[in-house]
Amino acid sequence: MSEHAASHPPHTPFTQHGTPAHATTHVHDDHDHAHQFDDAVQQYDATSLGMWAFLATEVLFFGGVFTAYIIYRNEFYEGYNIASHFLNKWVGFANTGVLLCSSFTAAMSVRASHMGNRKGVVNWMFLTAILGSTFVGLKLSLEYTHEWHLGLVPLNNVWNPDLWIPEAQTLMPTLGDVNPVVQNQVRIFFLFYFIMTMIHALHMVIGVVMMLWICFRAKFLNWPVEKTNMTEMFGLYWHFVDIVWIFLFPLLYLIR
Amino acid sequence: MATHASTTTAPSHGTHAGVASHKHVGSVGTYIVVWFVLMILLLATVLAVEIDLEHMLFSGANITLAMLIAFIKMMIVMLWFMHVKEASKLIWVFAAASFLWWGIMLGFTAQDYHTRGYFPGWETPVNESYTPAHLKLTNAAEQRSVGAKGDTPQQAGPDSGTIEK
Repeated sequence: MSEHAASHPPHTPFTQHGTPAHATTHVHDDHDHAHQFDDAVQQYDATSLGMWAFLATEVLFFGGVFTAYIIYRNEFYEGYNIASHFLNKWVGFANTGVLLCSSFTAAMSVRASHMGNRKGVVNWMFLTAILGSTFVGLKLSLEYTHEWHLGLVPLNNVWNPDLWIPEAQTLMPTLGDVNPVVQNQVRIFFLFYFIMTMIHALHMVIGVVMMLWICFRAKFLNWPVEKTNMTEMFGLYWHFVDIVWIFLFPLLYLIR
Repeated sequence: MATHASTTTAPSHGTHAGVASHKHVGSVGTYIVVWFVLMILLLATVLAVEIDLEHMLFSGANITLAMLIAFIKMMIVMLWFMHVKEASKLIWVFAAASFLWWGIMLGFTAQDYHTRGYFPGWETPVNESYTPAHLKLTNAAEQRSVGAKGDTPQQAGPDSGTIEK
């Protein structure tokens, strides 16, 4: 910790009346923090704590589905085993790689904003948006479409075991007869699969829209990129969405 | 646009020296190393599935390993990309608390389902495990899993037949 002391002057979070020594240099500057805060340091602390509180609620939001998935997985072992074979793990692998790369580019964008580098913020952020769109595009074109045509979407008029059972027999030659009970288990797996991946994809789409908005403002509206809170909090959100997928990938694609 | 930006940001960056000091400017080298390690771990996750750890170690060894690698990946992303490494203690508490709460949710839910029917006289009112009758296994796979788990279906056997009708 001590090696960071030089670059991180000690400060008390949520200082009410105290004026830290390093705050005096910009205490009369009205442009570096919103008026309800004492200084930019306090604003930064409040903003990042608020973002982490939001992320904690997001962990519990996804955590509820993860919990239900794990409970059902323990009970419906056979059906989940069959269902997971329908997911192409190499597509999942490619998508995970795309997301990890986008986390890297998002971190680079935040770094550029810390350096006041407007061009860097716009370029890295736009690259992140492209990678995020690639993820959603691969998901729709290679996976959801395929599952729709195989009758694996658990909607009443789409779900069709007659279509996917022959495919299951080729994927798992020793499978034998897939009875109606196991068919229902496969259906429950795909219910979880679609709910989990779609709420994740919704987070991705929201993230891409926010990134394009940040790019637009930074490039055309002369938005002050050196005020880094917005970029940095968005980076936290994007890394969180990445982490959710890091867990979804093995849970959905790699159970055998 | 870029030149215009540099002329406006350069002086303001100077006056904001105090602001910039509490923010960590990560080094490009660190980010590249972190990204490279993440890609290696991703490859390890996919390749580890091919190894049949189920028979080498224990049942569920493959998914345990996959989740362990996922956990390591998450810690790397949080520490370096999300800058938890340089964050205040309060951020550490918030980051850890969400997982603690999720652990409570998973732990209590799992122990509820896991222990249903364990204690004579404490069965659920329909004398049936939580699985609806029409979803229960009826083939040889059921006999295997029931034998392995020693769970309720044996004692609920006669009744489940009537529920199915």
